[in-house]
Amino acid sequence: MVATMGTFLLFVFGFTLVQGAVTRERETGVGELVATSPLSNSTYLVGRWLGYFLLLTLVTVFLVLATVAGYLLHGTGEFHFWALASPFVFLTLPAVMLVAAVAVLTETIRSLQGTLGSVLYFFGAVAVFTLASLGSGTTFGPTGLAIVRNSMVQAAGADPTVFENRSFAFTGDPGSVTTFTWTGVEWGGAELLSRGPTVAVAGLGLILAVVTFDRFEPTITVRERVQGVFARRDGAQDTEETATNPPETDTKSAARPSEVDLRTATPDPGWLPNRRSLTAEIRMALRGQRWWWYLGMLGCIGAGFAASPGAARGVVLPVAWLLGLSVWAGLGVREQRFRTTELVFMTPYPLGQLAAVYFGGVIVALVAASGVLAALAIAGNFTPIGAILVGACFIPALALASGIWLGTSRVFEVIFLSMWYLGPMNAVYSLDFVAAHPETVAQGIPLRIAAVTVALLIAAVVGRKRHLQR
Amino acid sequence: MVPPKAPPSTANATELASDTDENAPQLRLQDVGKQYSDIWGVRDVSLDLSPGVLGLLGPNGAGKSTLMRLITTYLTPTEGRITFDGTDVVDDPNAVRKNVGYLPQDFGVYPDLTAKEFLGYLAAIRGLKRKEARDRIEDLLELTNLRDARDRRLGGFSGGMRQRVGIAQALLTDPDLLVVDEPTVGLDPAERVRFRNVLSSLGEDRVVILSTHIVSDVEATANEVAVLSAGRLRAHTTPEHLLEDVADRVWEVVSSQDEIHSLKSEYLTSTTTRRTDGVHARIVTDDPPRDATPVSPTLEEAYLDLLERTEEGESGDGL
Repeated sequence: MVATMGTFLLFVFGFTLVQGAVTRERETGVGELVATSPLSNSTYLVGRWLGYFLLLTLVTVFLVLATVAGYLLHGTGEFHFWALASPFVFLTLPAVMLVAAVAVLTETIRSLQGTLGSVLYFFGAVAVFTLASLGSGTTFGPTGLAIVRNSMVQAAGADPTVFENRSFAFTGDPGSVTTFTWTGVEWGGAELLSRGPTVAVAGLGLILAVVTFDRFEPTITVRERVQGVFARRDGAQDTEETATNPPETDTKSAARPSEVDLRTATPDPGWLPNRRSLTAEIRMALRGQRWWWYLGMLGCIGAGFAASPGAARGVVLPVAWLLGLSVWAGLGVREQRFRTTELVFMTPYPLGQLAAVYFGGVIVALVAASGVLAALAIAGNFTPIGAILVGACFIPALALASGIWLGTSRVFEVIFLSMWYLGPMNAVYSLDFVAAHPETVAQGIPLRIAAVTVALLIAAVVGRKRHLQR
Repeated sequence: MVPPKAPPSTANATELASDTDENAPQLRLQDVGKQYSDIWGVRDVSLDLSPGVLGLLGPNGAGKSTLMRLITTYLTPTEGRITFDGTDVVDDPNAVRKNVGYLPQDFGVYPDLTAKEFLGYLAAIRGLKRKEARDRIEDLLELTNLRDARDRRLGGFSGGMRQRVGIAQALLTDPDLLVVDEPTVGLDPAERVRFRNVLSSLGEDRVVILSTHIVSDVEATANEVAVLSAGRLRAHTTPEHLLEDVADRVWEVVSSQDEIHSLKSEYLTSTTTRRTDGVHARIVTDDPPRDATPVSPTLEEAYLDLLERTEEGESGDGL
């Protein structure tokens, strides 16, 4: 069962664990060195895939060791190492092969390099896992859950002491269930062949990655790459011209320094964020969003106002905040990612800047929720309004704290998506930061989320101070 | 063998005092040190700076960037004291932050922003009012010759253009203290000359600290020179004083290609130039070869000589 759980976790979250090396090389300029080396695209990407695969294999090895240790401590019956380790070999390793290949593929497609790639992968992985878990016949699923289940069902069926109606579940009360003897999966030809599609899809993913890889050339689109057309876009021509032959370096047209009369400036920074710094941070956070993002956000605001209170809270608001994920993911990590720390943190009140970033994130959440909030206010339903306000304060606090301390947005993305999936979508009330369910408010969950928000903000401030006082 | 001369002593205070105006900005470092784990990045650095341009020279890893980060409050000193206009910058870092313009050696930009937007963002978080920021940014784009490129995304900028954006942001708040680390890296010769002129004029009424490996930049702009080596201040003097120290010790020798290697190993050689009559080498020595002709020293030669004597002094101490 550890193998099944481990495979599921690595399948859903392994992507976040490994993805980023190609993107990092693109952002740090190392990509230029790679692009100008004799290394072929396929060698480079297979090397990256291998790196991701080995990292996930290492995690798998730890899981095997943990399983062995667990068996030695709590297990019954004769110890068979292969019986414990073989599911990891035949189920987990093909699954992580696929995860590594998808990670490489998303890094070669520009639009999937950021939060959008993480979101699509998370929901794609959950959907594939769910579909593959539905029937006993879908043994070819990427995690191979059906193989383990079929083997256990077979073992349970062969045991006359087991009740007729069986199901699998986790329980905190071992006495409430019957036990049966299961010696592990018998790995026959059918079981091994069922791993073929997963490995094949991983291979296809890698081939697709090689086709779509732009070799760190920023002006080539995926389409051009696929078509083998290397003509530059009109806009890209400007960029190229700028980078290689900047016309403004022509000294004949340049004013002499002595001719430029610099007007004096008297900055008046305050320790509290003002409207100007807030606006600047919001504009910075929203930078790079596409037209469809704004359209989606507007749609959510309108739908939140027009829909019934239940649908507005249970569907529209979660979707609106899911859209906001790409905005919040940049909080706390932008300066490290783009190496602007020495420029940005040199402000007289760097914690004021941090506050501006935070309030900017809160404002984005509130704007996204404005339709729902307005509808609730008109209906006089003020309790959920308070809960939604708490949620709006919570998300940027989580993004800032994890970004500042961990230096990556991936952890925030995974936590957010997991909470989003389990809380608002699957009614795990303690994780329902959106207050999508009336029970969430009734159980006082927003108060706990408010307390966590305060703790996260303190963590963010401490982390930033730690960075400032080196 | 002629024994090495001791490194030049620090020029006296009156020689370095360029401005006695009470309102002029003053930066003082007293026995400043910064320790990283068990390694000292800089140690025992003391400097008194008033308006003017200080050229900070030193080999790679000498501690120049660490010193600049300490001055700009990005790092906190492990020991010693830094004051700006009498205020301790550790106790009140804003005393410096409100008045400092800083161009780090290695900095990034937001590639999706245009030059104007990037400067606008930094102006906003540094407390410049909207109109003031707009005027200042226009002036700085003009000054750095980026006016035509102001609406282009920074992601498409060349290295030199990006560096000029860095220079513009350092001047955004009209700072009394300007700290620039390798500012001319990536600039073409015309832009380099242009920036030197900017620095010179800025140094008239503010403290400018210019860290660089390009000694000719210091020669062209600085009225004071500080030399760091292995984290310690080896000299703080005027360029003239540094040059005086190598006066009558710089020579030009014409040699064949075969002889040049032995010449280089025997003497401190600053430059070698291939000509039709052989290789012209400039050497710094008290004891020149017979056919050497005396030439006027450059600041680079004075700097190299100082470094070599420092190294010899240290190895002598070690023995």
